[in-house]
Amino acid sequence: MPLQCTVAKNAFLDGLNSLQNITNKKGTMAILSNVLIEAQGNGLVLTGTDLEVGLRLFVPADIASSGNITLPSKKIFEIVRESGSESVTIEETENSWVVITAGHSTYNLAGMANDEYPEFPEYEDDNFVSFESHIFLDLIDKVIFSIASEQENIYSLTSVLFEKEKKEDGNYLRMISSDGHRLSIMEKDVAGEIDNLRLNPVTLIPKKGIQEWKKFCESRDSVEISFEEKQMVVRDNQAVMVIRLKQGEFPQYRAIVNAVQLENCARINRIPFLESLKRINLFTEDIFHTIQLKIDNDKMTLTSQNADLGNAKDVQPIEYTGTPLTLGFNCRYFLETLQVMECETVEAYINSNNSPCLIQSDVDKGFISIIMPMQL
Amino acid sequence: MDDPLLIAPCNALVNHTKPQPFELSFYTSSCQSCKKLYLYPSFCLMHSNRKIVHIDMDAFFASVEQLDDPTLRGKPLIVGGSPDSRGVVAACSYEARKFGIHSAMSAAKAARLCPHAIFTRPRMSRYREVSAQIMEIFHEYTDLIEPLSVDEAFLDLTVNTFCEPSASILANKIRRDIFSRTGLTASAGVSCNKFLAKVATDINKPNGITVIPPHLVLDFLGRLPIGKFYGVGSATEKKMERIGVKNGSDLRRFTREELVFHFGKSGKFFFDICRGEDPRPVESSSVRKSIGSETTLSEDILEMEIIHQILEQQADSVAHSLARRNFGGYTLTLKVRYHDFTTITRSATMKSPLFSSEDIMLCLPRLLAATEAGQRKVRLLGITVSTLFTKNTTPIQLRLPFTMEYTDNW
Repeated sequence: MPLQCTVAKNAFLDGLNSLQNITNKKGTMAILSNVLIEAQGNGLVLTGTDLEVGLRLFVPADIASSGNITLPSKKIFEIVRESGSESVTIEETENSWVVITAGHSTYNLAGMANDEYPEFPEYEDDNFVSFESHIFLDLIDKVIFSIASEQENIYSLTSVLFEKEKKEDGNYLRMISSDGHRLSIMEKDVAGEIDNLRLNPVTLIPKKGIQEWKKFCESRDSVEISFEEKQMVVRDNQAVMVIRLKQGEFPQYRAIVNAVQLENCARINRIPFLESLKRINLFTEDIFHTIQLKIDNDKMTLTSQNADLGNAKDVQPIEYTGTPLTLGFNCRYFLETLQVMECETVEAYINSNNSPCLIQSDVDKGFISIIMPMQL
Repeated sequence: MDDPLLIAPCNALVNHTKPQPFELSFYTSSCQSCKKLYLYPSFCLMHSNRKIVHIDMDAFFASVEQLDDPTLRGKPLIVGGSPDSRGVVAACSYEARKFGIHSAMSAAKAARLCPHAIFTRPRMSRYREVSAQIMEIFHEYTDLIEPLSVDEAFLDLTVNTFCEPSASILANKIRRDIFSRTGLTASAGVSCNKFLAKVATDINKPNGITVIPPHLVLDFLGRLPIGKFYGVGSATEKKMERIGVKNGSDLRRFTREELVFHFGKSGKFFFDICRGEDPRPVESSSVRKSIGSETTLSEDILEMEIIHQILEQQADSVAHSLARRNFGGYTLTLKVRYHDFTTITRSATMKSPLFSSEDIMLCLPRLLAATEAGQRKVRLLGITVSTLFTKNTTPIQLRLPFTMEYTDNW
């Protein structure tokens, strides 16, 4: 049966928009750059997958004739985005072609039959636990920037380590990321019943999955999640996302946290520090963003040098009474950490110019950032 | 003879002696079977009875992808940009070539020619890893190797470790070695200079060999279309056509002076090359490219603990060599030979350089996890650091001092 339906522009656009990152991955099978549209009952089910992350969501629509087809994800998204009308009509003709009508515009678009589209992964219906979305948004925001990129080659650092822990004062969820040069940890106490979250001994969620999980939460107040051995599922009553978990080990991050002595502390006003770093970053070299940080008696001097441009210097008042230190750092690492914090004053524990520097604050509960210096 | 270990000690004797005061240098080689050391004056290598072999891997990137992922075999596979980008085809499998797809074609056009083609991004680090394996095979034959790219090299086999006078027998043996150790096919061209060897390779591609013996050179070049000549690009080809040159024999009608008049300096080169004379030597670069350590174990080992200990010693020794030369390196390669002599290498290129043995040990687990060490008995282990650079004043990003628990599944 040829598919025929009419769908409200905005709802359709939102649905297609959530699928764009998943369907526009480079270098996969051609069919995966299409979105699967299944028209039945009172709406459309849209599906996109890159075989690592799969998303399926419902969009209400008038179905004149039910049917299935796949259409180029980016193109159909652009058509709907540019259309000036309230609703869009899709009509399947022959050989997987469709006629799309939107107001006065008509498009003939080549689709592909749905029989080659990969099956959406199955998942168990039990063991879902509901959480408010902001919990995950907060967890993800605090660690997403230090996930290693695909080119990094140490362990499983291209994923976020996800943990749960029952402590005396409550239940905690925790995310940890590292690119080998810095480490970010964020934990939050949660009301949800974490017993039902069946995490693996090492639960690794790939970067892409983290990005899509974040996007999923951004448009929703609460979500349900569940874990299985090889995948995790995030859903609400309109949409479901399945993320394939990475297998592997994560380094012993606690050993590093424990190894930092919380003694030699510099207390620095966060916003002025951030602004100073941005100024100094104007004169860093492109790859490593090296800055020199000199701390001495309630004063911090930041300097940077660029072979082509010149150099910059900035002085900040700080609270520091320890031994004077001169350190090198990747400016970007500091910027990214300070940007996700909310406090007025950060505590930076610095012991030497070649040991890890730990940053935290009373206000940013559960957050720890550790940055390795650069050898100048 | 097929045992690579038998070759190793012999191979160690092959080297080039530095030019002597009389400007007469010797190329030395030792014979596989008789262990005698032979000396050849270096001018022999320039002579027209040189034996030059050009080896070119068939659809290299695509073949590696098909090797690593069996589901891609027999399918039209395109390595390169994505079809909806402006990217181009870097390589494509022979299945894809049937549809008229060739490298440097736009990915979008390729997708139109073959809608069910599978597109994948290139994984250079993996190709380099396989390339290193192939180079290793070449080194078992001669040290006179000139790599042109990851999948292509000239070998001068005039003198070789096997004392085998027939270059075509050697070329076929090299192709067999490549296939048995990597699972990939290569094509070979055999002749008396670099230009002819390279042209020959293309004739029976894929998985073929072409020999142009010296007595057929002039005949072959006479019929060779001018566009196939070394140094003749599309611009020069048009120029050649304008003066009535379509092939080698047309070119031979011109005097050296006439060619210099038309083509400047390259005219001299064209004059020689259409007569089969290309004196360019096979030049192996002598710059140090890697520092490594490898150990053949006294007995085949299954225990990860012992493997770990050995690797740690090797990391120490490599780090020591690096430090002594004031080097750092970005690429780490782990070599494992199993008890049945199958040898694999796994390598990774880091963002921040490796200096110390801690740096090396930190990056090793991932490479080791990609081997079957612990499941299959191991006979030889080796660590190599490459992509070397000399330490200077560039700031270096330090690594977090992670330690891993060395469990069985690391």
